[in-house]
Formats: sequence, structure tokens, C-alpha cells
Amino acid sequence: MINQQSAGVSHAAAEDVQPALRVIDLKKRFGPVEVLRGVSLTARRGDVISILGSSGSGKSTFLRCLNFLEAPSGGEVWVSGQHVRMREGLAGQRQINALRARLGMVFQTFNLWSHKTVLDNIIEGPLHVLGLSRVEAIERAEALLDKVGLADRRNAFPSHLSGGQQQRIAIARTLAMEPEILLFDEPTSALDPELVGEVLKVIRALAEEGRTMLVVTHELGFARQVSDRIMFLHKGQVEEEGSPDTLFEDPSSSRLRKFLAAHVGALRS
Amino acid sequence: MMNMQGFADQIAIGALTTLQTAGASLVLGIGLGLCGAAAKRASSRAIRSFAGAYTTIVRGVPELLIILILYFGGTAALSALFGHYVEVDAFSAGVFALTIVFGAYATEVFRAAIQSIPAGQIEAARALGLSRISIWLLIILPQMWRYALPGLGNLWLTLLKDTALISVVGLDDLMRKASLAAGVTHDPLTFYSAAAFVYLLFTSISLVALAALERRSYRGLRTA
Repeated sequence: MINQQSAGVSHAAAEDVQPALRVIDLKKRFGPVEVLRGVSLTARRGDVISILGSSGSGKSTFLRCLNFLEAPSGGEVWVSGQHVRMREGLAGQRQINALRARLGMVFQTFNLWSHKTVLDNIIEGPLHVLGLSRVEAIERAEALLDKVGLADRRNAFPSHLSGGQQQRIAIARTLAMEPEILLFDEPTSALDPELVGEVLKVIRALAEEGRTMLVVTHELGFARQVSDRIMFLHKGQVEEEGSPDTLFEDPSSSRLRKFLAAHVGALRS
Repeated sequence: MMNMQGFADQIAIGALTTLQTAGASLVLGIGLGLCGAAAKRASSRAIRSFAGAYTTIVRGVPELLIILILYFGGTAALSALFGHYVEVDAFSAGVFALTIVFGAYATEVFRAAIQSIPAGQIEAARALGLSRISIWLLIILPQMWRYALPGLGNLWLTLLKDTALISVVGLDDLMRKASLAAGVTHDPLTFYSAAAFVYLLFTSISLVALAALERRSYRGLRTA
């Protein structure tokens, strides 16, 4: 922290004023069903926030609304101080595409493009959204492949990789856009248990780099280790929010207590 | 070897016309089918209904009737437009009618093919900020061939054979040349057999080519 401050006072001050992400009263309904009933959240630069909740709590929908894979029904979003207007039509679509490039999403099911090699999966975004040259994009992709430990698989097709490897490639693909914020939507839930570790290791390294991340996860131990804060959602509302230690050691909500007991029970059995 | 009684050249010219008609209809029909499939995915309800009406009507009426209606209807419409009788040449009318027919079936083949692409892959492309056009070019089109090829192959075989229907409006295709030769020589069996052989030759070559294309389209999949 001290190093960061001495690096540039004005820069650091500007960052303090503008949180990386500010969400106020985000709402989403699917027909008559209200999935999000007003969720607010502020993430400062470098924050790692884990979002917990049982299925149907709206945690995935919350992430999906943040990069407009679902159109929110109401609420306000600021990214680095820039207000996101929810406009209709082509202008709205352009703005959404620009916004999406800044909020990187990693999916539960990896969603790599099966007809493209690992390298092509990673370079398409930088080539066609950021307008990088092919040489620059490949350079960037190679560095990221090194980082996720899969440099030797650059010419493989996704179907020839294990789930853990696919997810690491998917993370590299997202990182290639150099997003300001990373959104992880249950990144290890589709993996065989023995493959979870390699993916968590990559995510942990990203957290340690000081990246701003929102992580929807069922890996409670991991959430506790890497998170600065934890948000527990229940039926589309924030039931409890705070530091990992407080939430895990001394939860004030009975629902969170139940949730933790059920998951710890599941871990022990 | 069959005795072609001097009509071999005519049969060859007819076969070439058949190939040209089918080829032109294939290219235009694929274009129409892609537009149709895109229209069926459009957010506008009006566009979706229009595409739905198109495929329902065309697939529900015999091809021969569509050809006749478009030929005579087209002649009448153009004549009304220019104020005097306009003769539509059989090739244009035939390609137009076959394109309309092929396009309707291809729309359904492409629509199903797009649905076979895992939705998550399109979602991932959207999440990266790729534009609609980029998603079509980079993700949807290259992958839908894999799923569309078998259906499209069937449509192509049908199209090749449906060109024979155009002979009713006077296209000098393989079918018509064979029929003319049969009439002149009073030897129908020889010339209809020869025509059948040529159709079979074309379809067989197509099947070999399609198999090669399908193998190629499965590049990258574990099942390859």
C-alpha cells in the first residue's frame, strides 16, 4: 500500500475518488419473477469480492446484468466513474459492446469456440474489438498462455483439452481484452474435483496481482482466502456483506448461518 | 455403349444447362437461406413473421406449381410493368423459381444448424464485446456449416433433380433434350436411360464431394 501511494499521489487520489465499479439498486425481472430486487455494490480498484448464495439467489444474474448479457430492469451502473446509460438501439448497442470489453466475463462452462484453436480463441477479441494487429494480438496471447501454464497447447482445439485447461484458456481469452474488472461466474462448478485446484491457482494469482474481481463461487474456502469482501445474496437481495472473517466466523443473518452450515457439512461428509 | 444416334452433343449441352441452372440456384438459394435464417432470429416480430410465412407457403406447395406460378405470374407482372408483353427466358425463370424453393428449405436447415451451436459460445462472443456482424462471421457461419452440410447436401440432390421440372417452361436442359431426342428417334428408353445416367453421375460426384466437405467441417472436434 505504501509503495502504491508513493508511486503517484494524484493518480492514486483519482482512483480513490472513482471506484472501479459502482452498482446502485440493480433490478432484474423475468416476466413476473423478480430475480434481483435491488442489489448495490461498490468495488474499489483491486478489490476481490466473492458473491455467495444458494441457487436461485440471483448471484449469476447479477454478474450477467453487469455486462449486459441480461438487460437490467432497473438501477444504475458506473464503471470507473463513467455512468452507463441504458439506451435502446444501435447507439446503445455500441456502448454496451464498449462496456463489455472493459468487464471481462469468465463462464461456468468455459464457452470456448470449438472450431478455433487455443491461440485463435484468444486473439479474436483483441483483433476485432480492440483493433490490435495480428502480431500484437499473438504476442499478447503467447504471454497469457505462459501465464496460465498452457504455452505448449496453443495449436490445440478446445475439445482436446481437459475442463481445467479449457477454463484456463477461457481466462486467458478474457484477460487478452485487458478488462478493468473480471467477473467470474462459478468458474469451477463444471469441473471434476481434481481439476478445480489448477483453475483456482490461476484465479488466486490474478487476485494477488491486484485485479478487481467479482467471483460467484461455491468454493467457500477459496472465497475466504482470496476475498477482501464477501456478499451473501438471498432471493435477489443482499442479505449480508462484510469481511470474510466476520462473515464466516460471526454471521449475523440466520440464513447465512444455515448456508454455511450446509456447505461445511457437505465438505465434511 | 448406347447408340446416341447423333444426339450425344445435344444431351451434353442439356447436361451443362442443368448444371448451370442448379449451380446458380444453389448459390443464390444459399444466400436467400442465410437471409431467411437471420430473419428468423431477428428481434423484430414483423420480420420473423414474414420469414415464417415464406417458408410455410413455399414448403407447402408442390415445386412444379411454384415454377408454373412464378413463370406465368412473373411474365404477367413484367408485362404489366412495361406495358407490353415481355417474354421471360426459361433459364432466368427457372433459376428464380428454384432459388425461391431452395431458399425456403435452406432457411430451415440453417436455422436448425445455428441452434446446434452451443449458446454459450455466442454468449462468450457477446461478452467480449464482439459486434453482431463479427459474431456472424467469426462464430456462427464457420460453425453452422458443420451442422448444415448433411441437410444442405440433401437439398442439393433434390435441386439437381428439380431442374428437370423447368423443362415444362421450355428450358433446354438435360430432361428436355432427352425428351426431344426420344421423340425424334422413337427410341425413348435409350435417351431417358442416358439422361438418368447423367443425373446419377452428377449426384454421385456430389455425394463424394459432400463426404469430403463433411470430414473437413469436423476438424477440431473429438469425433473427427
